[in-house]
Parts: sequence; C-alpha cells; structure tokens
Amino acid sequence: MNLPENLATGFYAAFSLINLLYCFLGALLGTLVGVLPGIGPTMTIALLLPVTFTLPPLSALIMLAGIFYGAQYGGSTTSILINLPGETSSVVTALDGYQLARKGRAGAALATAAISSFVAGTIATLIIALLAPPLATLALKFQAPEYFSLMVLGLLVSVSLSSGSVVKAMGATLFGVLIGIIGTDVTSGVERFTLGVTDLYDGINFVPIAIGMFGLAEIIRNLGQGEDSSRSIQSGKLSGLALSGRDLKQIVGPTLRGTGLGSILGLLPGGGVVLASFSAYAVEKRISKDPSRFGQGALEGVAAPESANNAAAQTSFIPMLTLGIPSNAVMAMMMGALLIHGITPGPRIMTEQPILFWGLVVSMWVGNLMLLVLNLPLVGLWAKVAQVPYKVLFPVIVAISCVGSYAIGLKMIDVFMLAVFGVVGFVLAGLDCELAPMLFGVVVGPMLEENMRRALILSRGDPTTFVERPISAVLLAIAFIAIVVAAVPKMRKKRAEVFSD
Amino acid sequence: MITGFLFVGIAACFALLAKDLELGTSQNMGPGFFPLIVVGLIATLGLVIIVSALHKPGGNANAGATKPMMWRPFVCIIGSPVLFALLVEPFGLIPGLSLSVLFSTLGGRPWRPWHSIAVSALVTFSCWLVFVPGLGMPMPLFNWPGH
Repeated sequence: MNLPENLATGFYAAFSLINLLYCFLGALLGTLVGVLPGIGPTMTIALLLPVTFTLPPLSALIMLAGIFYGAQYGGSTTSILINLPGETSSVVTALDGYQLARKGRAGAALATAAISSFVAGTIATLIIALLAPPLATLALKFQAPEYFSLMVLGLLVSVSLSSGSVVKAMGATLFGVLIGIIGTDVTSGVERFTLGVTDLYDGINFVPIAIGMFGLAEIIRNLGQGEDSSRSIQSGKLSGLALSGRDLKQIVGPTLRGTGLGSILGLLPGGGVVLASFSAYAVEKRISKDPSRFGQGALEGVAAPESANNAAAQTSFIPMLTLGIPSNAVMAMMMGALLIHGITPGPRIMTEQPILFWGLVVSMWVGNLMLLVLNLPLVGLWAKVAQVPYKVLFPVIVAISCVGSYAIGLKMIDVFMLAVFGVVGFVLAGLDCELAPMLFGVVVGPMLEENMRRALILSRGDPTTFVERPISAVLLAIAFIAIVVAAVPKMRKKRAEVFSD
Repeated sequence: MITGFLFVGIAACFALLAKDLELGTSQNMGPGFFPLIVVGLIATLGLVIIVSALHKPGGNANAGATKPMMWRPFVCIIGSPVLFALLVEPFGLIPGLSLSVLFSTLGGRPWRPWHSIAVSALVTFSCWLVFVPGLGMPMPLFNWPGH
C-alpha cells in the first residue's frame, strides 16, 4: 500500500464517531489532569490506563495518545500562567512563558504554545507516516540476536540519557529486568521469584508497578516537602490570544527548528521529550541575535521547547510501533496497554493491524487539532483547575490508584503490589535512582531473556553470535559508545549543563 | 553508598531465590541462567558504587534522603492501598475505599476531620460513578464477611 492509501485507511478509522469521541475525551482528560500541579504525563497515563481497558484496542490507544499529548500540553499552560510546570519537559516553557504572562502577554504566550505545538504535531505525524513503513520492513529482517542487541541498545541509551548517575540508573534498570521476569518461565514452566504466591505466577501486572512508582511515591515526596502556597496566577488579561504578524514571524524559525530537533530526539530511547525541549531552547538561545532577551519573555523561548517536546512526543511512538521496543516510560505504558489487548507491537503490526496503526497515526493529528480548538477557549478554566489545593488532590490520586489497580482483574494482589511499588519508587527516587529506565527494564526484561535464549539456540550456545552478525554488532557498538560517552566525566558535566541550563 | 548496599542486597535476595533454579547450558538456557547474569551485574554495580563512595569520604550527599517528616505521609500513603486491599473484598467497595481514602488524608497537614471526611465521601462517590456504572466493573458495593 502507498502513503495516500494508508492515510485514507487511517482517516476512515480515526473519523468514526466513536473514535473521534475517545480522541476528544482523551485530550480533554489529559489536559485536565496534566494541568493539575505535580502530575506529569507519565503519571496521568498510569492513572488513566485502567479506564481504557474496557475499550476496543484502537479506541483505547487513541484515547491514551490523546491523554499523552493532552497532559503534555496541560503542563505548558500551567507553566505559562502560574509558573508551575506540571512536568519536567515544560520547565523550559516556564522560563519565558511566565515572564510573558507577567508582562500581560499571557495570551500571546499561550497562543504561541498552542500554534507551535500544533505545527510540530502535524509535521511529526507526517514523519511517522513516512518513516514507519521502511523501518518496519527493515525490522522484519531482524532475528533473535538483532532483537536482543536492539533491546540492550534501548536499555543502555535510556540509561545514558537519564539525568542522574549512570551506574545507579543501570542498577535500577537491571532491577526492573528482574522484576519483569517474576512469574512462570515461559520455556520451562518453572515458577521464579514468586515466593509461592499463586497470584504471582502470571507475573506482576504492569499497571500497579507504574502507578505505585510514579503516583504514590510522588505523593509521599510532595507531602513530605510541604506544600508551596505561593501560587499567584498571572492570567491578568487573557484576551489578546491573537498574534501579530511580527509575533508570527518571530516564532516560525524556532518552531520549525524545534520540530526538527524534537523529531530526531524523540526517536532515541530514554528521556527524548525532556531532552528535546531543553536542547531546543538552548539552540534558540545560542543562535539568537540578542540572547539576553531569553528568560525575559521571548516568544521564541516558548515556541522552541513547545514544538520540540510535542514533536518528540509523537515520534517516540515510532520505535514502539515498528520495533516493539518502547523508548520511554510513557511508551512502555502504551505498549503495556497494547499487550493487555492482545496486540504485540512490532514490525508486523502495520500489515496485520493496518487499521489500528494508521488509525492511531491519523488520530494523533486529529488530537492535536482538538487541543488547539479546546485549549485556547478553555484557558481560564484550566487556570482555575491548576489551583486545586493539593490536600484535595492527593486523596483523589490515592483513590484512583487503588480502584484502578483493583479494576484490572479484581485481584487483591494488584493492590498490594501498588503499595509495594510505592515503597520501591519512593526508596529508589530518594537514593537518586532514575525510575523511568527501571520501568523500561520491567517491560523489556522478559523479551530480553526470550531473545537471548532463542539467539543462543540458533547459534548452538555460542555467545559470539551477537557480535558476528553485522546488524547486531553495530547495535551493540552504538550501545557501548552511548554508555561510555555518558560515563566519561567531561561529557557528564556537559550533560548536567543541558539539564540545568 | 546506601544505594550500593541496596543493590548488593537486592542481588543477594534474588540469588537466594534463584538458587534452586536450573541453570542449563548456554545452548539450552534453563530458568536460572538469565537471572544469574542479571543478578551478577547488579551486584557488580553495587560494589562499584560502594568502592567509589569509599574513595571519596564526605561525598555522600544522599545519606539524609529520607527526612523524618516523610514518615507520616509514607505510612499513610502506602498504608492506604494495603487497607483497601484488605477491606474491599470482605466489606465491599464503598466502606473499603472511603476508609482507605480517609486514612490517606492523615498524611497531609494540618489534618481537619470534617474536611477529610467530606473529601473521602466525594472521592468515593466519584470513583463509584466512574468505575461501576461508567465502566461497568462488577465490584460489590457493600459486603459482610461470610456472606
């Protein structure tokens, strides 16, 4: 099939009334939860994941995607209006966005964020449509050794892109791998690490792990730090959403550059989205004729990170959908959702589930359009939602976590696991271990073992198969370089700069 | 330093649990083969952290990560799902959820009884609305042990 035909399939699927509704619902819910302080996209998806279980696969995925970029976008709204980034990737948006709001140009900043996100979303959707099919064709040639090496690459790159200590992140990731293989060994049928608990024979469900680590642990930290009550809203005048011709001219360049940078970084495993917005901002600041304007309320400082994080959010779907390897925690959850619906993401998804694949791609664009339409008129409402006091918010999160985990299979074990992983997440985060690569390890762990086993059967037990097959060797080499680069002190300093700039 | 010991501890626990698993050969990996590799790697990383921490005394910045004021929220937030798991099947969704939400509010300060009761009632009602009529989850609302 060719591109227009594929897109037509997608449009047909995405524009069914029910899918449009779920797309809308997802974008709305995502924005609503994303606007709430202290809840980022990862947590939003973890909390809302159980809600989508009862839907058909495509609708569930469309809704989750909507939740994802809705949450992403909601975070930028609050960073601009109340200087309270809902998540790491909007920290940069707050720098100039909030300054603009203080100068009474909140409307212009919000419009810039909306428009640049939409442009980036449109371009990134096209990139997915163009890039995914050839990548999937390539991936079909992959056999077990290649898959094994690809997963090692994914794990190591996500470790090297995480913000803390490389050694700790690696340890946490491996810990995640161990947790992932708890349950019955698929080949021998032997129980592993279940402590004799019958309910663990099928392994630990992914959802309580994610909610516990990203939801409960976060609440404990927030409560422990005490609440900051100094949220002053800078809505002032929310009129003036229209941008002047001069404003538009100012944001064209940053938006396009941000989109390009974001699209590339989104493909990388690891903190793609966060890295994208930070580096897009840094690039604009560097090439600007007057860098001193940045941090004082430059529209470019809003357009660049917003377009970059949105583009990265979209393209991060590519590795998950075509290779079956999630590139970050959010994608790990998307993949978990697909697996629950009995769909294995990978190179075959495009030929076996064309409606699902292209429907999702097209719905991403539709969702972005909805955000544009939804957000500008509702900005006043979002600003109010963002001021919900935390003492009301956290019991709500706790309740959704409990009922959501229980709702997966009406099993108590899932709720207990929620508590266990709340503790795990809290302890590891307290020790500066990155949680995102760990979650990645949980998802990839079983696949890693399975492919290693298959590869070694094929090679009759000879481990050199991983370096003798050319594609596999190249992947491992890249993985090795990624981890060495991240561990070298000089690069570490530079990395720290990128994250603190 | 703590992280290092934690990693070594995790590795030791999993190794202990894996000791009865068959290793198999590399050509025919047994259930214990892959865990052994991962456990070995974690233990190595843990030792690396411990050794490098020993080499620069005073550089142990994350020793006080768990502040004493964290205990109260910790117990309440973690206790809440445990309570829910224990109560939901014998007593049903409504009592289980409202009590565990009420317990979680104890983690915030200042704790005001009426406010907390109102919040937990509201939250329980909304959760019921979303999950039971909304998503059609077959959860018993009220129950009594033995019935």
